[in-house]
Amino acid sequence: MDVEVDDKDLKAAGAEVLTDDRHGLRIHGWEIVSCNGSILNSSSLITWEEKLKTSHLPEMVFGESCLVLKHATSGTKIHFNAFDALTGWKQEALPPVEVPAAAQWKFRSKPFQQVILDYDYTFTTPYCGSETMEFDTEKKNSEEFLEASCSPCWEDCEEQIDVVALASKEPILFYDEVVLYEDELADNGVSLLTVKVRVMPSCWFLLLRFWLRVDGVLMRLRDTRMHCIFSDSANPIVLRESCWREATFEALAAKGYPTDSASYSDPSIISQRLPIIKHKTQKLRVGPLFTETIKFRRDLEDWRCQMIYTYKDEGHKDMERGRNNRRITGYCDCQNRGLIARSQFFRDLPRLSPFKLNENSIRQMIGQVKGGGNVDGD
Amino acid sequence: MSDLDRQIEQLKRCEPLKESEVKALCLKAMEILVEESNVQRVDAPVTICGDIHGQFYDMKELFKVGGDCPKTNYMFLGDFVDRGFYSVETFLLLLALKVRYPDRITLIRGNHESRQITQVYGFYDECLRKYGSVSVWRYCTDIFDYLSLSALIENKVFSVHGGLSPAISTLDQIRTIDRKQEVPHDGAMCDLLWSDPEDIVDGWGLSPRGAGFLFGDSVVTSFNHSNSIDYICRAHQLVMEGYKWMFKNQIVTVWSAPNYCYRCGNVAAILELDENLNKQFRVFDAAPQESRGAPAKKPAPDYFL
Repeated sequence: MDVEVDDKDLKAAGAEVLTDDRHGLRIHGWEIVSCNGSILNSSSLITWEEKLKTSHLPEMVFGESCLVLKHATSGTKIHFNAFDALTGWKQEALPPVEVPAAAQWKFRSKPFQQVILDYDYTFTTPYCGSETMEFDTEKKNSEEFLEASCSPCWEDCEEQIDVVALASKEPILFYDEVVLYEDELADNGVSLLTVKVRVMPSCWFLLLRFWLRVDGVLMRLRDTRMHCIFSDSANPIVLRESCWREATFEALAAKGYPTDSASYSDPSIISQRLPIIKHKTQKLRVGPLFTETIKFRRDLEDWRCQMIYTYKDEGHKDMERGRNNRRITGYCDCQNRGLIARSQFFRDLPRLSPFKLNENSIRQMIGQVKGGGNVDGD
Repeated sequence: MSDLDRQIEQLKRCEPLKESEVKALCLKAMEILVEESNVQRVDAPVTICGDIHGQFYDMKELFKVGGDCPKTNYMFLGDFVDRGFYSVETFLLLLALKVRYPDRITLIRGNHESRQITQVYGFYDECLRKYGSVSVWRYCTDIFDYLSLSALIENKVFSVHGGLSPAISTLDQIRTIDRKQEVPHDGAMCDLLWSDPEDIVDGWGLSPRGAGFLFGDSVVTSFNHSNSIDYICRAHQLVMEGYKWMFKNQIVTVWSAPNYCYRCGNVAAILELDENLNKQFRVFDAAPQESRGAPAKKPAPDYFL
């Protein structure tokens, strides 16, 4: 960003520009960093294709570009990257959209065999950001042995993003736009995923936008806005609003709007013409979704470890199980002597270790505990 | 100094010509281009260039790397316009060089050299902005219809913007196309300007868009064999490394717009063939920021909602 920000404004807001190589700032416990890189080269493209199990990716994938917003005290990390967005594209797997010329092509019968590719070449994604919990190493190694399991999640809410407050012209302390991926649909339109952020003295605000125009066929706009008003509480309050709009050129023509593609180059100008097909507002909840109790029990000469999950909310159960291991982090709510074992040995294990424990490793640990002479059987 | 030489000097400074000059230049170009074959014969040595897309200052880098025309013979594989900021200056400079040195530079039509595409992707708006009317766009798009569809270097290297067509198995079939028209939505002429090689199909594939062909290894093998050519040289697709061989060196993509759209960070390449058709790729970067005039600064912060 070559934009000059007034030092006085930064100082007055208690903000601090990052002095390392990164591009960003710290403000009210948040560290906000953006990174704009090149498109993936051929060898990285192949790696991504393997990881995503696809043979097609947008022609411009800005694989190193990202926007990261990290809140130190709560460990909340909200971030935006092309990989997670493309994972969403793969999962949604919409059927392909035919371009207007396709109708003519159907009559172009050919005797030879033809492979018809049918992936979603528009790269439409439901992606609305990634969130994880990340604690500083300092905290991880502390002697605290009771650590809440925190997996941030979004809950539907009634509150709305305060657009009036956002319209006020507070000084912008930090601004950037990051393109995550882009495809020209072989000159049949545009598919573009970008995220813009602005940080003001009182809040930060961002807009993640997926914009698709298939010339002569349809337009899709999937916006995700996030707003966080700075406060001193340990857990930040972040509102997220998703708004999906979609219209065919045919429907626009019926309403009397122009239907040439050139009139639809800037989505922010024409978004109102596209009807809303999905809208919701959510609030970030930082806190334990469930707790896990680890119990150690001696069964004759063997020690056994039992893990009991107590879900706060039954509704989240399946979702949590279906999730990637790395999201489910360490936690313990032990009422027995297992606690001692954990305090001594578990805390230095990787956070997903309980899922990898086999009997041998339990024995090993128990052996160490026994060797220390601290634990008896139940 | 002739008017034409003066115009070339002016265009090299990225200063557009007057509307009347554009009109006269296009008329002269038309007389030359109308005589060219759909498969224009080209002698080696020659330097082959891919998409430029109005990135004028990067094309100047290209000439720095490849040498000035007419000292170096050039072939441009189309997509001179759209996307970049200087489509007008880019195309007019190439066209003026064509008129001045007709045997030293070959211009092949790309899919962006079309009325329909330029109205969406920038050239039309740029003409309107720079001239206040669409006349220059009209003169240029009329000239597009005369551009050749392909070239054959020393009977050994076939050059085209996009790729092959299932309607075409011999070069003679290309020669019979009536090219003086807007690029059609289907048929052989459309395919030559639009199709892409694709690893995951072997024969012919249809794009998921429902229009646009993809061709695989076996298609290229049999085309090259039946036309006794060594390989196909084409452009049309962005390649981060500037060029990319496919199908056991039977086809190569050359891309000549570095840092495409002023943000991709890719390098560009040109392919130099000497008089014995020995190949050398010359890879180059985008023009440095300070030498490229006005734009490229990041957008100012805006109070987006």
